[in-house]
Amino acid sequence: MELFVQTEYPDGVAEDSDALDRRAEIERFLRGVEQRAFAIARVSVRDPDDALDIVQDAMIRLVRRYAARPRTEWPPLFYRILKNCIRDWQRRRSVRDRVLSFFGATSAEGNDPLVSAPAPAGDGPLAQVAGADAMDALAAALRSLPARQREAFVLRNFEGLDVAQTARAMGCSGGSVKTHYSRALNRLRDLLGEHWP
Amino acid sequence: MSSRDASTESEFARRAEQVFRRHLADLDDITRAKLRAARLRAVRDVTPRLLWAWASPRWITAGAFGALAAAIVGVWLISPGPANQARARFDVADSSDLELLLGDEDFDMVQNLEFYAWLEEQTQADSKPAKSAADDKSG
Repeated sequence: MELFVQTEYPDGVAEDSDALDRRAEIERFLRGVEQRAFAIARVSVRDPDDALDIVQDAMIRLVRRYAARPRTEWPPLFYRILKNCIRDWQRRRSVRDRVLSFFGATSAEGNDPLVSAPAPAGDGPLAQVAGADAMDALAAALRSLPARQREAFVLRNFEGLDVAQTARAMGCSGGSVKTHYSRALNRLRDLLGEHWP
Repeated sequence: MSSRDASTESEFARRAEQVFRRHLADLDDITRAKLRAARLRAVRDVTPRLLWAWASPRWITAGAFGALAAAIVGVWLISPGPANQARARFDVADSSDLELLLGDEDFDMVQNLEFYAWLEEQTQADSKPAKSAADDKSG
């Protein structure tokens, strides 16, 4: 890891243990959330490289904007940033696909024969469960949910945020979080079946 | 919602969480290494300057007060209030002195203005007795 160079700043602030402590603290936080963040991004964008880029972008934004904020504020802030990064990616992808389709081309995903191949009969979430990949089935079911329900489910269930933190990350009230989460659970249960996984 | 529905919901949520945790545990080493590299790149930006800018609200407050004071002074200077009107009158009254000071005249004369004023008084004082004597003669 790169070492600090001793540098003086106004008011006697120096490259000191405070910065090192804060750096270690935020690194610990990011280490705890990076894999979950990657999995969430991958559920949304499917492509692992794009998901990695999104997670890195979210990490950098959190550090640059909120490194000095109290540690307890980081989880909702990080997931809000992550959500925005995913949304930005989806918008860019949507614009790119429109431009490509205007010029008669297709996106890289459209050229992938595996992706563009017709789905076998009954290849819904239940069939994927039968294929023993429970996470893929869950991801597919999650993608079919309305965005707010998906966010509420991911933040509460995958990230383990409480209602207040989820509300802060989603920018809505705690009551809305409960409603979205409950509807998401019911819908997922309908899609995946009682005996999933 | 009935208690049975609630328990079914929580049971489903628990299973989903387990599936997600298993999925995380199965992440390949390359992805883990890439995530680690991304994290290290991000935390490299944690510098004292970054923390100082955020953790020093007193500087932000001082800056805000400074900006406010500058705005008040600016408004006072451009507004036609009584104080500024008085200052304008003062400027007009003293404009002759200003001209004198800024003119091309010999600066020595300006420095000795008091002497010249005294000399003029003396001249006038000397001429007064002569004038009164002439008046007496004519009278």
